[in-house]
Amino acid sequence: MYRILVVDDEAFITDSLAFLLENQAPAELEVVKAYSAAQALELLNHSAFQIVISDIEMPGKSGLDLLREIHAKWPRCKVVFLSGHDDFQYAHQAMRYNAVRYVLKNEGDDVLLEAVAECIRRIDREQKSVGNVLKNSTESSVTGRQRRNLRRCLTESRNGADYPPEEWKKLGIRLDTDRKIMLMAGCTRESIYENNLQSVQTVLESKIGHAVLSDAVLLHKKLGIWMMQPADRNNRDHALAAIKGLAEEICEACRISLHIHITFIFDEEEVSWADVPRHVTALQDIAQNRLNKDSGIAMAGFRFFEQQEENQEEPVAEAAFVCRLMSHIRENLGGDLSLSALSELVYLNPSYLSRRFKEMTGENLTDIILRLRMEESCRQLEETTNRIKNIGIQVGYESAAHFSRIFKREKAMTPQEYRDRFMR
Amino acid sequence: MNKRPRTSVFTVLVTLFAVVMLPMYLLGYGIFQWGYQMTTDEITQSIYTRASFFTNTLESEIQRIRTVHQECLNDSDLYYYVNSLSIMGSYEKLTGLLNIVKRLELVHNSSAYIKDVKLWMPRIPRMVTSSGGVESMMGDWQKLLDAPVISPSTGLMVYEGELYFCSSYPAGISYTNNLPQYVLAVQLSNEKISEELMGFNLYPEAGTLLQATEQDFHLETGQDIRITGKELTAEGQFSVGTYRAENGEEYLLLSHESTELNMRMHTYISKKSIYGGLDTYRGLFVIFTVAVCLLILAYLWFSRRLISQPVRRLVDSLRQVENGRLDVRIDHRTNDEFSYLYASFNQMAESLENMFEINYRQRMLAQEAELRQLQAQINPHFLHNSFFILYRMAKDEDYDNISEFLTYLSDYYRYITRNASIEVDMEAEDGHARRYVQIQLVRFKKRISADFAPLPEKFKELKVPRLILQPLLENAFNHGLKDTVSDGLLRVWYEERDTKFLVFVEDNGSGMQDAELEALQKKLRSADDFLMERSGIINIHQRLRIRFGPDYGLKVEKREPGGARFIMMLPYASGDEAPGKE
Repeated sequence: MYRILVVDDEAFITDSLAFLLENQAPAELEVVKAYSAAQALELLNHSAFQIVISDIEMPGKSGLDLLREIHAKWPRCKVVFLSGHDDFQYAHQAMRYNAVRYVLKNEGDDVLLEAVAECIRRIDREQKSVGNVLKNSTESSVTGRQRRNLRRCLTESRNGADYPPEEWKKLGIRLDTDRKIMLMAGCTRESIYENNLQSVQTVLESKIGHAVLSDAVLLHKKLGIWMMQPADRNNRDHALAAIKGLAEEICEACRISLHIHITFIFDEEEVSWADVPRHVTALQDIAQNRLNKDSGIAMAGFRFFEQQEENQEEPVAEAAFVCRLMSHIRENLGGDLSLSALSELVYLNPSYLSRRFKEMTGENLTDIILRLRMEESCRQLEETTNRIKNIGIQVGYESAAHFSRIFKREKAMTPQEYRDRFMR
Repeated sequence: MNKRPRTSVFTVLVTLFAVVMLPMYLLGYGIFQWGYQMTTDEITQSIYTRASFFTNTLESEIQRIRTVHQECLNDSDLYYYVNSLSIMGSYEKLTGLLNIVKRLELVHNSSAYIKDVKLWMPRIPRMVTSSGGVESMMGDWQKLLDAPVISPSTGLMVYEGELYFCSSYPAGISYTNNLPQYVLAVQLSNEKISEELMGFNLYPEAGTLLQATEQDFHLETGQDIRITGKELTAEGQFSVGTYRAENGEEYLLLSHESTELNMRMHTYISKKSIYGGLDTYRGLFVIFTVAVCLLILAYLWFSRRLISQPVRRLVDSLRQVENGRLDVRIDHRTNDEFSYLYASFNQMAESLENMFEINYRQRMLAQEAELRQLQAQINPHFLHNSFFILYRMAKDEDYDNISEFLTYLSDYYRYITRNASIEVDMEAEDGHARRYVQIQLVRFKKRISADFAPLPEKFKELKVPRLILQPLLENAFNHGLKDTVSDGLLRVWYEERDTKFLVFVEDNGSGMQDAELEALQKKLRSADDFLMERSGIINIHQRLRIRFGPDYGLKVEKREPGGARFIMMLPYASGDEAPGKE
């Protein structure tokens, strides 16, 4: 599952490219469209992308300006530039920014798809080589005594006033004590020690360190607590996007390089330092009593468990969320049904959601969505006199041509033919 | 541009003429004044001489009469007669009386000024006059004796308007108790004096007044102008003055005083009669003055006509040329220096105009060449993106859109690559602009929408230069709406205003910075210069101005709240007559 962003100010091209990538991509892709550089930046701030395909000339910002911003937000994001220009200057600058490819618009679809495939290969390669990061990591400057004291501070639910900001600083905390923090628990299947936790922390920093400041404390053998703050004081969204969007990558890297299976439970809510012990206790409770460590969840939202409060039995709970998902999809056929959006809805990481959904329903989420879309469009073709283009839009296809093609692929006839046949 | 000269030739000429004319006029005036003075002096002198003479004569005559009077008073015969009457016989009495009469006659005849001589003998009582009368009644001798004295030095008296010498014998006694022996009175003749005075009245409206200084006596001859004594208290023995009578007439007044007689003689002459002769001169002088004025006016008129107007004409024509009107010509009929100047001017203007004509043609050609070049440089981004869209449509098997889009594109490129005619119907230009907007809207449908008003029927036939509208729209898309991410709106509409056909192209994009806008406006204003400006906007502007004149072309303004508005001004006559440069 790779998230890819297509940016072009010419809507037709954006839609067409997105359609192309959704249907002919070399791997499973989640395609998001942006019709301007500004919209692209907004999206990039709110969620993580592995690949961006962008036009070079756009209103407001050129592709190169966009590239600079992408680089600042998602350093490992791969960028493919599309351009009508056969301009060396652009190519040269694009290369300097480690943009993977520079594709001329008239080179054809295959070249573009190959460029995307190349990006995916590089992402995979980078994921596997995350071990290099560990070799270069330095020893923590925090002493064992400080760790111990910190652990006590986190767990002993005493009045927060006992721990004024200076106290936290003394304990080796690198975060700003005048800002609120977010908490995340990391539960491992294996028993880990202080040095294992530091390795995980190194991996985490290599992935999201540009967006998030963090400190980790080992609470007990199978549970670490992360205290986090947005690196950019005014941009919490980016930090959230980084944490949620890259959690899977972090887990994957830990599994491959450290052989540690870790599941994160993330509490979006910002808490004051005084409330930290209370929240840590709550997280600890969930981690120890509610989480199935073998489930393979990379990251679950704190709320995921809150929703489950009444139904303690896990299968029942999961069945409930499947039902909720299905009804959500039915109601929002024309809306955003991307895996990211759906996983956000149920507070689980996308690939776990997708896998778990298939396990439970026996069907891919995307297939179900497609099926529901086709059913709804058939219904509308049969029962209403809506224009085909409008029906397409209502079931989530912005272009009539795309709708027709999908419809034809699925039903072996065009929507018009379907309607004509039904009418007869 | 030169200012008008401050001192014109005309002013200088007029000043010079005035400088020459003024002394001559003053000379004439001086001569007139001199003659006037001469006449006055002459008259004054003559009257003075006569008056002196008359006064002296009168004085000596009166002295003589006085002497005679005194002699007679002391005459022994008379004394004898009066005192001896009582002892005389009748013969003696008669002879004595005759002698007295004879004596009185002698006195009477001694001077022409004596009118009568009277002798009263109150004691007898009897009165004898020189005219021979002897009367027994006595009359008013007492009153006469008490009559006021005019001049103490002579003892001349006045009684009932007549002049007398009157004395009694013995003198100085009181008559109330004691009557005088006799009283002798000599009456002077007013008529005679008047007659003499008449001699002064040489002019018709003149008069003479003899007046006692202290007593109420006056003699008047000639014109009566009612002069009272008070008004004529002149200083000195002789004075000259002017007197204005009640009827408004002016008189020359000459006064001469005789101290001995204690009298004053006034001679007055109407100025009218003195200067009667001078009136001719005055008339001549007025004529002279009028003639001088007329001469000046005539001079002004001629110099204006001959010099100033032609110069003004030349100056005006030059100014028009300065202002860019090169078709100014001056025609001149007379054959003078000005006609040579005018001919030279006309020649100059004509060659200037020819040069401009050549210049215009060159610029038009240059602009056309530039247009060709702009056409040749078809916007590569536009081209590539259009092809890419077509490619994508083909890949998507979106056949309806492919054919529609291809039609737009092929029409678009056919229009801009057509070299046939420089001018096209507005309808064709409008159609092309619409196609261009359609293509752009396919490309930018998420960002931009367009409101393209239909072209009114009446403008469809209008001939316009080719490709004037599309660059404006291109500018709106590529600059005005370049950074507009959503809700971009392009508006195009047509208007007729006065004799102009206006095309408005408006976008709600980011607009221009004030400095940028000003720079563009400046460029549009000074677009006559050969700007090596390759922008489509300036090219349209220059082509329109060269084609239709400086009143037409492009204007750009700020649109509130954001964006820019371009206004293209083209000539449009309401009739079906094709517009264009004459």
